[in-house]
Amino acid sequence: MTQQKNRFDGWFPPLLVVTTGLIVATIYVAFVRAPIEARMGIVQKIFYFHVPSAYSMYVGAIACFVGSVGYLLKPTDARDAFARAGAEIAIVFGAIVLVTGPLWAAKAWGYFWTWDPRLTTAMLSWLLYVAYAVLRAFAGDGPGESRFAAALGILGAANLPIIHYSVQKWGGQHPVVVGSGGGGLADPDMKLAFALGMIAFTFFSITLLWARTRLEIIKSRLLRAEEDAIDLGLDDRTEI
Amino acid sequence: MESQPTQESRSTEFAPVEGGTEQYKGGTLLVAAYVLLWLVLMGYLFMLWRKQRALGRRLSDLEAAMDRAAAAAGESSAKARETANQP
Repeated sequence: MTQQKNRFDGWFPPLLVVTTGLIVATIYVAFVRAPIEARMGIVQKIFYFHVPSAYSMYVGAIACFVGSVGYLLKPTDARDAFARAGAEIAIVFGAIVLVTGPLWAAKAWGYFWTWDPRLTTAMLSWLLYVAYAVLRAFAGDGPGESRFAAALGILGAANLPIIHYSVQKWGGQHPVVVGSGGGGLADPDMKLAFALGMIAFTFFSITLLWARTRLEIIKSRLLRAEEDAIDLGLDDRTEI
Repeated sequence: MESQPTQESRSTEFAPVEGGTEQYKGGTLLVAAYVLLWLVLMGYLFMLWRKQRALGRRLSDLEAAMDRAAAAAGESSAKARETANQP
């Protein structure tokens, strides 16, 4: 068996170091330097990791979309692994968004949940990726199942612009602070905490995406090696 | 209008706010959000670790199977050499 070495493998430790440093910096600026917001109080600080988590969910969903399109064009283990990893990243960060958002809303709105357009579309999107993960976990790893999952991965991404523009299109209660129509962040340290949070979570999602894709590729290689071993007749002497 | 606590009562007892409008404390919600954020991420890392462990077990089984196959092949070639060397 030949040892396959990925030429990008050496980049992982520096990426991990940079990600860790950015997370530490975000925590310091968000909790120590950024002032407490005048109307909402300390609970506003949830914003510094709620919005970056939503952005990381998009990163995962886009990775799932790219991997899925790539797999449908030319099926390879790496593309399938990338799509699968992207869906999991979307689930993880989507769960953070759906947990931290209601905790902020409890203080700001007085209740945890409302069927606001952005909240509803975000939850729908998250459920789509959960459906994707359930499909991958229980439907097997055959090419037919992978193609079906790829179609679901593309469908999941179609919901992303709907989440993003739902506030502008249908109104609702979800605030728009940064971007078009938003009042912005008044204090430079608030801006710094937000910017650092966005960069840190982007790096964090890429780090997790990388680790998960790599694990999935190794799993595929191991599966092939097991199949080769069975073809060579090793199965009658051992239990693989 | 609520009566203001006296200096003496402040130093001898603590009483909660009555009739306040605040339903949830912002600090508690912030800590809850932050704890849950890291719990979700650690849960995901735990899941990755379990997947790695399962792969490790499968790899060990495969290596053991290959070792046994190599040993069996070595034994049969030794027997073949012995047979060939017999007069």
